[in-house]
Amino acid sequence: MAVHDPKAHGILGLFDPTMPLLPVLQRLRQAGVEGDAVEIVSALPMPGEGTSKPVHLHLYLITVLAGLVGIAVGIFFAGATAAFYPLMTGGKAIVARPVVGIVSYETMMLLGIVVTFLVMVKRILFGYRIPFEHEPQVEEGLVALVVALDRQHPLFEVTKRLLQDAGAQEVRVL
Amino acid sequence: MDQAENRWAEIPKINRDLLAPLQTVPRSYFFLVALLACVVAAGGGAWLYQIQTGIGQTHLHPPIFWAVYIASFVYWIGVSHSGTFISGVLRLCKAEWRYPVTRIAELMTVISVMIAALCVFFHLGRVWRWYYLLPYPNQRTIWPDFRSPLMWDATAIFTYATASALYLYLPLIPDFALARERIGGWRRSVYRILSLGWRGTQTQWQALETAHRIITPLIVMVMVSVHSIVGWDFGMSLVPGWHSSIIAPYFVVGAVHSGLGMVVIGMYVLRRVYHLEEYIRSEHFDKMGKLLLVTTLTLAYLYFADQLTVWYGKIPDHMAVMNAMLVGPFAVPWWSMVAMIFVIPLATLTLPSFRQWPAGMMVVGLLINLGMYIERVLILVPPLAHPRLSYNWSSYFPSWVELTILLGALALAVLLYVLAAKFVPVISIWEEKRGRIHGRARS
Repeated sequence: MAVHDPKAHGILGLFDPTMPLLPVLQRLRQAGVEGDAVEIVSALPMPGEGTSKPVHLHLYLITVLAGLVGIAVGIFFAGATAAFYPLMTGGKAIVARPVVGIVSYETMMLLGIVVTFLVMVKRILFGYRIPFEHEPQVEEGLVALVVALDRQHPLFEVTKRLLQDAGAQEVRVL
Repeated sequence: MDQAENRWAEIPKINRDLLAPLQTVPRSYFFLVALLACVVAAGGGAWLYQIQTGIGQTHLHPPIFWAVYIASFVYWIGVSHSGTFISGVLRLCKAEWRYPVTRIAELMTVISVMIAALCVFFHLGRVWRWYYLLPYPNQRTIWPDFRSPLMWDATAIFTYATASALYLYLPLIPDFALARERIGGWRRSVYRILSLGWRGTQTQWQALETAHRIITPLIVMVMVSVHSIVGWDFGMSLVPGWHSSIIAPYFVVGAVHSGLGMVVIGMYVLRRVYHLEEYIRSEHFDKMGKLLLVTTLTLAYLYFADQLTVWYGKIPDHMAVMNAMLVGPFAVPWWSMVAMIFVIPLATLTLPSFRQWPAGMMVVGLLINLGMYIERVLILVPPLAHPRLSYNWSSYFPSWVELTILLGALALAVLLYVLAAKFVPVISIWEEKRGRIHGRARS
């Protein structure tokens, strides 16, 4: 273990996946470690409350807004451009409302899906505030609990000991 | 070890098993790729010949202006419904048995949409003028007519192609991250980019799951709209045999029918080639068989309802089309189609033991797809061959140029799938793990 690494900026504890992590998180909180400094890394999404950070970005709302913009785009293409470039056809309206509805539906879906995807990409790209290397044992099923702490931080040793006492299979300084 | 620990202990094996197809390349693989590439080249050559010498190389002629290229377009769009249905609808229904088959289907969706789009270009007489379809200010004083269902089609297919590519990519991100660490060579750098720096933090999982949860119902709605609009390409015209109010749901159900059949073929082949018997089990074939049974019955019901109305109305123009199919020049393909998409599936899929027989299911899947292709051709050709004025009645059989191009397109679809199977895990690794860990995939 690289305990004396001066560049250390965190502690990683590897836990058995069947072990409940909520008590460990509670103990860390009680010890004074802030919630934002703790990250759980796993091969699968962890079920249950308390293991994930609160969402600051409401994806559903963004999807709805993007969908509304999509409707406007559809109306512009199928409605406005038809009015700007009128194509005379016997018995047909220049701007046909059902057509505007169909095209707007598609553009609404397109923008809703694409924008939701882009926001998700942004959240994945910046989905960890603690820079840590890939941990192969996580792929094999273990769950990693990463705590961002400077080595000089008064809680550094306390946290290390706490993770060991909580039953971590391995505790490593990052 | 208790049961929960046992399940977690399976994870390393799942990683190894499901990444193995990406790590080994047998000699037969290169042979297959070379063979498919030759057929694709033949198709490409025939297309170039058609472009150079003109659309007259096809057997399209008045009054048959749409034929096998458009039938292939409709067919491939139908096949593309496999991924969305299996992944999307079954996800909404929380059917957890879907995990081993979702990726197989999603890959099919993306490849099928690409081939479908290609079929439209085959059909364009002057393909180099394709950009006339785009709405942009120009000096030609013409503008795409959005009142035409073909423009709805272009909009819907662009939406569907984009959405299904994103829908394939979403659950691939964690798998790309796994592959990034285990597969070397040029692929590693590509995996690194595509995995978006995935580490598996709960914030990342949450973002992925939320996006999946939002996009799933949206893409299901797009799926329904796309094939409805393809159906309206026909239904909006006053051609006897096309002008029907139930053509949209009929097209949607037919699309899901052929899509499911194609997924069964894919399941069988991939299971055999990559020895995935432990993952794609007979219970998955059984479930797919039940879904196929539902689509068979629904499609038969819609088809009967549509034809009954035509038969009861006895409108001469409509009856001419119907008679041409039942007892006329199109009787052989029509009755073959009925046998392949209705009779044989009904006779076999109602037997539980048959549904659990992978080879048998694969044969039914093949028959359904062959039958659905014939059905797509029959939707187009008999109505166009029997316009209202009988002096203009005609017939059609594709030329060698058309057949070669379409064979090339089929080979291209298989080739893309074969190449993709060496880059993308054919079973979603993390979803398979999740199914096992939570103990529902095997229930």
